[in-house]
Amino acid sequence: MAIRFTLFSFFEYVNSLISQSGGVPFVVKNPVVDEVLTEKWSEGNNYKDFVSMMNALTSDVKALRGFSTNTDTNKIVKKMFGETITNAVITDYARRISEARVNGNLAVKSNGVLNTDKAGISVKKNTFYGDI
Amino acid sequence: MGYVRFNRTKHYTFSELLKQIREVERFFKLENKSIKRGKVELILKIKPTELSIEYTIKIVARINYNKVGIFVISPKVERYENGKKVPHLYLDDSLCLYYPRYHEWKYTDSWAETLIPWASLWLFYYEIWQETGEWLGGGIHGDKVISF
Repeated sequence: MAIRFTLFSFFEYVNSLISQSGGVPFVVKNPVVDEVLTEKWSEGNNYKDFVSMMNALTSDVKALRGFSTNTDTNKIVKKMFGETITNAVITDYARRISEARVNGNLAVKSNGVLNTDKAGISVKKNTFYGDI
Repeated sequence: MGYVRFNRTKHYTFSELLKQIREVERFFKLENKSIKRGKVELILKIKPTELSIEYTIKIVARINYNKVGIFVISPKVERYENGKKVPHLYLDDSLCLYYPRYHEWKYTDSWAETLIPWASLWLFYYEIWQETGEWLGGGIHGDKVISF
């Protein structure tokens, strides 16, 4: 929740700087050393590209915020981070559930939700069968 | 419906089916139940994760039989999806939840403690399969054992 709040605060802050800048690149300084992090923005279309990227990112994250199912979320996460990374994360999650299943730590709540908090009925050992 | 399919095979009696229904009702919320002409049908909604859609499943059993069919009726799961065969389904589209030769399930086992949790687990791996194209729940495919 804290990460989410920070993320949205960041988007709001950067987008407000963009709208105040009136199309002119604003300056972002390195807080530690004397360095302008945005010096390349004045070259070519760099600043314009940054604004487009921020708009797209803000729009995707807003969409993510509104989604309530895995299917919708996965679709936009795949768009943002690519299919390979998204599938790796999904696979890792499946692996963790499978480990809990093997170790007898998987349970199912009355709405069917699987969990490792031992809430509800313990999931017994089974072997799925049939052609794949 | 007094027909006994296998004389030597144990099979459900009416009271055993009622007991199963009571056990399911004790833990899960049934959307509907019907007992007609020796056939029991239970309808309930489950979702494998908090962010999953709700699936409506149907449990079908009959007096004098010892098999129980579990079907995903909404959104309906069929044998092929986008040209790919959905893993671990029987020909009638019921879920293949256990390997009979391993004796992981017998007809007297509580549906609430076996078939329904396994159906939720099946749906979990089904959703992963839809996203990644891989079935990560292991199982037996023909004679081949795939571990998870």
